[in-house]
Amino acid sequence: MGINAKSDSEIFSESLFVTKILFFKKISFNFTVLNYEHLKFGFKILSLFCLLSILFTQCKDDDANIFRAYVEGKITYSDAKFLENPIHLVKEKKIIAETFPKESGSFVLAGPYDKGAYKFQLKNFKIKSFSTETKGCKISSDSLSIEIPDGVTYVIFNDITLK
Amino acid sequence: MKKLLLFSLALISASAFSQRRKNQDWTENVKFSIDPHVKVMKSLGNNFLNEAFDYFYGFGIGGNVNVYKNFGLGVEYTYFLANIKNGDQFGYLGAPSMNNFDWYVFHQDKITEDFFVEEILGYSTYRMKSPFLDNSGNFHEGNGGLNFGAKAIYTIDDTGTQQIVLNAKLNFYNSKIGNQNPDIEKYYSKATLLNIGIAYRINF
Repeated sequence: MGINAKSDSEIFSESLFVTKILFFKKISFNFTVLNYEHLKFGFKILSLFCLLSILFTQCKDDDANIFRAYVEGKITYSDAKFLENPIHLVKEKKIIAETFPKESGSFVLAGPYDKGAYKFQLKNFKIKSFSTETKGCKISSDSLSIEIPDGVTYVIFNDITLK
Repeated sequence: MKKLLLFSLALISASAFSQRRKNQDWTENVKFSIDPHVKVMKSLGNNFLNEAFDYFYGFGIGGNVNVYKNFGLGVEYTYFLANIKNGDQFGYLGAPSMNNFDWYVFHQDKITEDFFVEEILGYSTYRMKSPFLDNSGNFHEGNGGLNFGAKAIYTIDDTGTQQIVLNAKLNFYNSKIGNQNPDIEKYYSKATLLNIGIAYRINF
């Protein structure tokens, strides 16, 4: 020890001061001489920043209220012409699903929608009766469709008979 | 005069010091590359992406930053198209297009002077757009999921600037398509996609 002894904090504050000076000089030097290396460095940082900004704008959650209506069943028909026309799921006059029934009369219809009631719809043939375990389904007044209530996304119509 | 000389000496040494410091800076190891690519994507297993569509084909661009040692970050954007194979269970919808971002962390292994392998782990986002066949607008679906895979990289010039990249990845597709029947919900919401592509990479 002796006269030259300095406390740790003194040494620290001195070195901090020196660092500050060096840092300042480095900055001023960078401003005066802008060479290729600096441009390249800037470009790298910029590209990193761009990547991250795209990442954060991309992270959003969707599909919160989308459903697939899924209706399957079997239709008993007598006229072979019935197979020529497609059958539909319709929501507010907009078709969401289309298919042709198989020769056996069985069918699967699936289509996207967000909310509300929808219909299982035939084109030229009227429905006499149907059976299902799902409550709330009923034949429409024109007999061309079966109305499926709000909230029902999966229905099986075991036996649809035509007039 | 003596003071001025001393000051300028200090300035020169300081600037030299800062230069030397800069050479050891971590940013010196940061390498940036971009790679335009083409990809083919096929869904595996029992889900609507597999049964409704043939396969997805697309093109896009990727960017990679080697951040620390052999580790880095990357992103790939791909625009996919697909043909409908069996639309019955898809809905009254036309052929879809998909915007896909793959975000990932990679680690690069040097096998020989001009052959590298990269292992990849990341997260993907998907947005699939299909037009309603009655022209009443588009139906959007898709969300996100993990992805992992590997890339084989061949250097094709002396300077190492140009490379050919072959990549194979598994992407997990998740969306939230609701249905009362859990099997059907899963059928429309979950898929595993095998993703194969070739890219031309430029390092700078």
